Amino acid sequence: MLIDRQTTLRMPELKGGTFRTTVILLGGFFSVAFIALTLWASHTAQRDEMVRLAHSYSQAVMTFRAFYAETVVGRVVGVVEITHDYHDNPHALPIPATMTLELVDYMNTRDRSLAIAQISDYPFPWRADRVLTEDKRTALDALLKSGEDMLTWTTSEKGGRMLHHAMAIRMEATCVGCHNSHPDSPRRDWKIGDLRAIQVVTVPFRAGGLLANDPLRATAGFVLLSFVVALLSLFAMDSRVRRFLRLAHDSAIERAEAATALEEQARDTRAILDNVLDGIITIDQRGIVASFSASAQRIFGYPEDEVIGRNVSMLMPQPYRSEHDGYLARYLSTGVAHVIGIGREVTGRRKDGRHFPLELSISETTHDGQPLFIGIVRDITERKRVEQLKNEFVSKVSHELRTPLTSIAGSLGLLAGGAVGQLPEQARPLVDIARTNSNRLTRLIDDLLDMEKMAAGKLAFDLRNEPLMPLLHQALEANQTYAEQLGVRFALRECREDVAVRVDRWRLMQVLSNLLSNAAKYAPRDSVVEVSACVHDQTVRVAVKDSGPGIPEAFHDGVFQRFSQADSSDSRQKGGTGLGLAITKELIEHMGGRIGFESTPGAGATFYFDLPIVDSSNVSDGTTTPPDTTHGSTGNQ
Amino acid sequence: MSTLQRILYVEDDLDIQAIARLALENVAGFTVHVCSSGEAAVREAGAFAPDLVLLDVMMPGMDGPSTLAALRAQPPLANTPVVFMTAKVQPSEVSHFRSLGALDVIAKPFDPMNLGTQLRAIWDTCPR
Repeated sequence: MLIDRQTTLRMPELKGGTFRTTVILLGGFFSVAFIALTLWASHTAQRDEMVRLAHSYSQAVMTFRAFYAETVVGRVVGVVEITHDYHDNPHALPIPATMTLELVDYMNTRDRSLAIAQISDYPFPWRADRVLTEDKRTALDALLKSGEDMLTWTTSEKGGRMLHHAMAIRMEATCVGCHNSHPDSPRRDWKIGDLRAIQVVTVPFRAGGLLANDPLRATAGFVLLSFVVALLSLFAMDSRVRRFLRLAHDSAIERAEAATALEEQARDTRAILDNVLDGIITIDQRGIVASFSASAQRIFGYPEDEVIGRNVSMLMPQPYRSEHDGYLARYLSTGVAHVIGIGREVTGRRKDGRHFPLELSISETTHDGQPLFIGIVRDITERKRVEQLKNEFVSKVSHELRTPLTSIAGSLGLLAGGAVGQLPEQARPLVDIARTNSNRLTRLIDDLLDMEKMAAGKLAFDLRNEPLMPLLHQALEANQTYAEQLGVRFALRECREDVAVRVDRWRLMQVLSNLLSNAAKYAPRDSVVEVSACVHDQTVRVAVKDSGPGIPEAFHDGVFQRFSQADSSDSRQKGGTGLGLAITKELIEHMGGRIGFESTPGAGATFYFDLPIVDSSNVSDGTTTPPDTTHGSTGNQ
Repeated sequence: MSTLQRILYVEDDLDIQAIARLALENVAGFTVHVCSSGEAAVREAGAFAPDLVLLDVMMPGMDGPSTLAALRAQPPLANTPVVFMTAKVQPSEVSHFRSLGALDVIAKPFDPMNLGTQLRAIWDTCPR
């Protein structure tokens, strides 16, 4: 389950390396593309700008030449001489071509950032020395061939890259006649529109192109920097998102594991609850069943769905069924509980209508702030049946054992008492042995019955406030004969006459007889067994002290256990069943007291019990006759 | 106060019967009529007219309590003291027998030499 849950929740592998490499590659590609495009755009823009500059420059020269030819020369022709050799003639003007050539030479000297030249393949002799470079020759041929008026090209030269812009100079109507008639003209078949020459403006590329322009460079740098920052931000964001996802994933896993653990725990708990023999039923404050375990279903014979949501009183016979709601309401209003926190036996009702005994214990808890009662029910039908069988068996055995024992003890009693005449001297001790052992057998049966009843919790106690001393005297008197037979004397030491205790007088006599007969048995012949009743605070301690062999250290823990005797061979010698002190302890504890002993091996033993003192002014009249408890039980030492 | 003399003893066990009869007649000097069942006791009690009935509890047929009830149903015996002699001497059992109308309970095994003394002591407590 856990594995499945984790599998379903497993986050797709976050391939950070691949993602970042991809982003870096894309970023690099776009950066390079951006730079390349920027450079290309810069170069193109610069070239266009240079072409425009060159064209304007060239156009200006051409315009000035036309202005000169039409406006100046046209007005003074015939008045002054128009010649290429005008420098030494103050009444002459240069012909337009000469003026233009000298103008561009003059402009070249004024502005060295760009150069302008006019080249013709049919120069006048006085201009034949002008060199026609190869690229200009090519441009001239290209314009001649194409018939176009402009051509632009670039060259790389020592001083850097150059842009050349050539404009065609064509024959005007005002020029054709002169050129065809001039004696030094190298060609005389000019027609209007023929390519007379080309005017080439050469502009050097500026280093860095447009990027040399600060604002543009700043803009490009800013864009590039923004791009890098965006990329880094993306990386940072990616890290944060990745961390967040990891945390979210871990948290989801933890929650899933916790939920799985809870589910497993709930399932385990359910399995445990379903498999315990006891039925578990929960009800709310109105008595409505909230849960009904599998064991409860087995016990009552109802399936879960027939009980949940209904009143729990359906599981009870009358009159409990009718009383239940009222009981629950009283508990909720007064807080006085009769069964909550207390286990008790009640009667249940199965689905088939049969009644059965069950043991019920109820505890209270809260669920969503509301009281929730948890009832644990145990079907004790079988236990009850066994108990009854056992009781019947014990009763039967007791009777069957006592019947022959009555005959034996009676016969021996009559023989020993001389009812049928005097016994021969040698027969008397044998009859006494038989009587003693038949008495022992009787006490053993009594002890076994007492133990059985105590184990079953069936030993009845008639607790009353009784004065202690009369009971003590009575016990001493009852056991005196037995002690005398053993050559032991009882002596009452310090005592409080006015002490009363709450006891069942028969049971207290049984306790005292056990302790007194025990002490007499183990005390050395001709010794004294001391009895005292001393008051400490609100308790009285009754102690019986003998000067016998004491109790071995190793046996201290087992003194009050059933069938325990310090020495089995000794017990055979002294008699006893090993039940006396166990019974005594149970009896004293049932009467709210505590029993104990102090013993030093070889220096005797003191057995005592403590009982709470009660008001001596409110005691019973003590008329009830206790049964015969004379040295009634057994020796455990 | 009258003297205890005539005792109707009801006991199914013949051995115990013999011992008790010896104890009551020879040792204590009572006049004893013994019945071996509750039914016989109910039949013969009227004719014997006992001063006291000594009654076993567990018997086949009519047990002690049933016999007591049947004897009480006979007007001459309605107030005759009845003492149970039984092995069932737990305090609760003794209380139960007293509640049925028994004057007292003597535990089995009993001391045959003191049985008469015990019965006389019980007889003396009986209000008449």
